[in-house]
Amino acid sequence: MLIYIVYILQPLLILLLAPLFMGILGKVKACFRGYTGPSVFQVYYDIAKLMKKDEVISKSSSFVTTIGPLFTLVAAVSCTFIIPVFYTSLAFSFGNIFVIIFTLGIIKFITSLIGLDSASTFGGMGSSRELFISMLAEPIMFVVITFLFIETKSFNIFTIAYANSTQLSFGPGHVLAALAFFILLLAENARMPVDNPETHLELTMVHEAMILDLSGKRLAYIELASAIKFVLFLTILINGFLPYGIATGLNLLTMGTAIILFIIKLIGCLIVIAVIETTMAKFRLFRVPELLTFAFALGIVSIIINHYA
Amino acid sequence: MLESFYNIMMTDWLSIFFVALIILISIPICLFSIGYVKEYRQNYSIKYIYSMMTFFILSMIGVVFSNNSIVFMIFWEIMSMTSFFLVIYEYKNKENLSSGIMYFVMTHISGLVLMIMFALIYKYTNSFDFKEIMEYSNKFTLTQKTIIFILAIIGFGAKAGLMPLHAWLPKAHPSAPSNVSALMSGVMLKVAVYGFIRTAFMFLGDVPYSYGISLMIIGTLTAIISILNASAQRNMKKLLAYSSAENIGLIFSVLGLAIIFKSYGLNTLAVLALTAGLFHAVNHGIFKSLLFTAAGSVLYSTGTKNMNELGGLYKKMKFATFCAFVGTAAISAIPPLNGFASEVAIFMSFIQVAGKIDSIWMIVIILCGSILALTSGAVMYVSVKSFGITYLGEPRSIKAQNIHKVPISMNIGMGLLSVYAILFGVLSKFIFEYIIKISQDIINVGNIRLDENTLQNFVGFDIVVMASIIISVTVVFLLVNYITRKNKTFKVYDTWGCGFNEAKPYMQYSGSGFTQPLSKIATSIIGYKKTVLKEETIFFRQHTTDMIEKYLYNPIISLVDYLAIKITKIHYGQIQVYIAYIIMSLIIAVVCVVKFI
Repeated sequence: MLIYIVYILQPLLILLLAPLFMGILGKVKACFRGYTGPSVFQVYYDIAKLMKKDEVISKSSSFVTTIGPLFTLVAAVSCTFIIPVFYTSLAFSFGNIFVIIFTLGIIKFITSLIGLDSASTFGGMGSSRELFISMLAEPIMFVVITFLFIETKSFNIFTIAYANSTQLSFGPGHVLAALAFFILLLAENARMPVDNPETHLELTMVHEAMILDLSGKRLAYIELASAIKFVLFLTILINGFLPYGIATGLNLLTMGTAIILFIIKLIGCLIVIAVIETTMAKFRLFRVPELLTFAFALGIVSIIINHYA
Repeated sequence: MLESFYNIMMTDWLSIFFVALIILISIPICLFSIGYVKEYRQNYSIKYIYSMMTFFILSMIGVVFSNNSIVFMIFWEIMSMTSFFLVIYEYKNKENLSSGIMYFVMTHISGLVLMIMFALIYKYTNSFDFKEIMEYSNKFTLTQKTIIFILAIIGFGAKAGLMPLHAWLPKAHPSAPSNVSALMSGVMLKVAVYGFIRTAFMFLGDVPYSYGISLMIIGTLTAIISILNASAQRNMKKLLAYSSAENIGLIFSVLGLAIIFKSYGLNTLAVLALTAGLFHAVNHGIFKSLLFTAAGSVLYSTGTKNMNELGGLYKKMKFATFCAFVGTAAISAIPPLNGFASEVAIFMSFIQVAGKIDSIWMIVIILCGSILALTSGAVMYVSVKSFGITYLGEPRSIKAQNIHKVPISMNIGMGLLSVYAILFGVLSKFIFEYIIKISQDIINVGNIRLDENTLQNFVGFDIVVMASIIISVTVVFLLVNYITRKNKTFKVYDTWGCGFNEAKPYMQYSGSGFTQPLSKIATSIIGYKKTVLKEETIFFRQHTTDMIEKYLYNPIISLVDYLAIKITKIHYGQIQVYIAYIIMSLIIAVVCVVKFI
C-alpha cells in the first residue's frame, strides 16, 4: 500500500515544489545582493498569471510553437515518474539514467526549434548557442554516467542511489565527478557562468532568446518545464552523489526524515548556485568550451582515480 | 525445389536480417519514387531509372543472399554499376558526371580490394563457399587474419564511407536523385556493413583485440570528423551525406567494440555491442531514408538544395514538414523514437567496458565513447539546423515561396518511414530481443547462457516504460488542455522585433551562421575560412573545405594526371601497337597470377 503512495508522492513532490525552489533561489540571491526581493512563492504567481493571460503567436510560427511547449512539459513531467526523490530500493526495474537525460533532451530540442520558428534573429541566435553549449556538455554527461557505473555497476538511478546511500566512504574521484556533474548542471540549465537567466540583454541571452516570442499559457509551460528540469538535475546530483538519508525501507518515519533531508540538501545546492550567480560574471560564449573541457577533464580524472584506487 | 534453393543461398540469421532491412526500407522509397520521378519526365528517361532501381535493389538482395564469393562479387559489381548509373542519371549537368566518376573510381577500389581479399581467402582455404570458409575460420594464421581484416576494412569501408575513403559520399549523394540517395545511404551502406560483419566476425572467427581497437578508433574518427564537416554544409543533401558517414563511423566503432569484447571472452557484452550496432544500422536506414526523401520533396517543390535560400516551407507542405520533424527527432536521439533506442544502446555498450578490461584500453574505449557522445550532441545541432532553417521561419528567397505541390505517393512513402521511425523506437524491446538472437548466432556463442542480469539491464524495457509514460502524460495533458480551453485561443501577429518594425526574412539566422560557433572552434579540422570583401557593398563569405580531400586526394589526383600526360607519349594511334600492349599486359598478368597462387 505504502509503495503506491511513494509512486504518487515522489513525482508530486518535484512537480509541486519545483517553482518554490526557483523562488528560494531568487530569494537567496536577493539576500546576497542586499535587497528584499520577491516572495518565495513569486514563481507560482507568475505561472498562474501567465496561464490566465491572452496569447499572441507570431504569424511565422508553425506547429512547433503551437504544440511544442506542451511537449516540453510532458517530457519534464514524464521524467519525474522514474527518478528517486526520497525513497529508493533495488526493486525498481525502470529508471535508466540515460533515458532520463535523453528525455530531458526533448526540452532542449523543442525550445531550440521554437527559437528558429518565429523567424526572429534573436531566436536563431539563442538556439544556435544553446545547441553549441549542450553539444559540448554531452561528453561530460557520458563520463559522469561512466563514473557512476564504475562505482555502482548499474545504469539504474534507483540502484545507484541505493548503492551509494549504503556506502560508507567515498574516494576523491567521487568529489571530482560530482563537481563535473555540477558544471554540467549549470550548463544544461542556463545558469550563471554559461548563461544569465535574469537578463534580457540581446547579446548575452541564450535560453531567454529562444522563448522571446512566446506568451501566456505556452510561456508558462516552458517556464515550468525548465524549472522541473533544473530540479530534476539537482535531484540526480543529490541522489547520485550524496544520497545519505534517503529512505530504503517503507516506513513513514524514515520517509518523513528523508523528505526533509532532501529539501535541506536541495536548498544547500541552491545556496551554492546563488553564491556562484552573485559572485561570477557570465562567460563569453567562446570561453564556455574551456569551462566544459575542464569539467570533462575532471570526469576523466575521477574515472582514473577510481580505477587505480 | 526449395531445398536446392537453400543450398545456393545463405540463409542464416545475419543474411535474413539484412534482407529484411533492405526490403523494409526499399518499399517506402519505391512508393516515394512513383511521384518523385515525375520531375524528370521532360528531360530524362523514366524507364531507365525504374529499371536501374529494380536491378539495384535486386542486386543488393543478391549480395546478401549469396553463399559463394564469386556470386557475391558478381552481385556486388552489379550493385556498384547500377548505383553508378543512377548517380549520373542527371547526366546533362556536368558536375554530376564528375562526381559520378569519383564514385565510380572509389567503388572500383572497393571492388578490387574485395576481389583480392576473396582470392586470398580462396588461396588459404581452397574454397569459394561461405559455409566452408566459416568452418575453416579458426585455422587461419595470425598473419592471414591480419591481411584479410585490413583488406576487409578497406574494401567494405570504401563502400560504406569510412575515413579516409568517405570522399565519394558528399559528392555522389547531392548528384543522385533523392530517391536514389535514400536507397544508397539507407540501404547500400548497410550492405557494406553486412559484408564486413560476415568477414570479420564469421570468416575470421576469433581475432586479437588490437583489431577491434583499431576499427573502433577509425570509426570514432570518422564519426567526429564527418559530423564537423556536416555542420558546415549549406547543401541539404551534402549535409545528409556527411551525416551518413558519421553514422557509419558510429556503427563501425561499436562493431570494433564487439570485437574487443569477444577477444576478451566477454561474450555477453560482445552480443550486446553487436546488437546495438545492428539495431543502429536498421535505424539509420530508416531515418536517413526519411530525411533524404524529405530533402527530395523540398527539392521537388522548390528546385533548390541550398538551405540558405529556403525557409517557411511548413506553410505549404505541412505533411512533409511533419515527416521531416519525425526524422530530425529520430536522428537527434529524441525519445521514444528509434534513433534514441540504438544510441542509448551504443553508449551503454561502451560504458560496460568499465572494470572489465585492462586499464589502458579501458581509458581509450571510454575516451572513444565520450567522443561519440560529443558527436551525438553535434548531430542534434546539425539536424536542428537542417530542419529549422529549411522548414521553419520565413522564406529566404523567391524559390521558397513559389512551391509545386508534392504528389500524394511521395507523402505516403515519407509517412510510412515516419511510422517505422516511431514503431522501431516504441517497440524497441521486442526488436532488441530478436536482434540479440541474431548476434548470438554471429558471435557463435551457441548454447552458452548469457548473463541474464546484463540482458535485463539492457535498455529495451526502460524505453517501453518511458514511451508509455510519455504517451499517457501527453494524453492527460491534451485532455486537460481540451477541457480548459477558451473560446479565443490566441491572436496571430508579427514577430516581436524589439521595437524594430522592418524585420525582413533575410535577417533571420542563416544555415551557415547557425553553426558558425562550431566552425570557429573546429577551424583546423574543417578548413574554415572567412573573408570580408569591400566592393560597392561589404560582402561576408565563409567557406570550408574537406581537409582529407585537400591533403590526401588532391595530391594523388594530380599525380595520376601527371603520369597520364607522360604516358600519352606511347599512344601512337596504331591498332597493332595497342594489340601488342594488350598482349604484353596479359602475359604480365598471367605471370603474376601463376607466381601469386
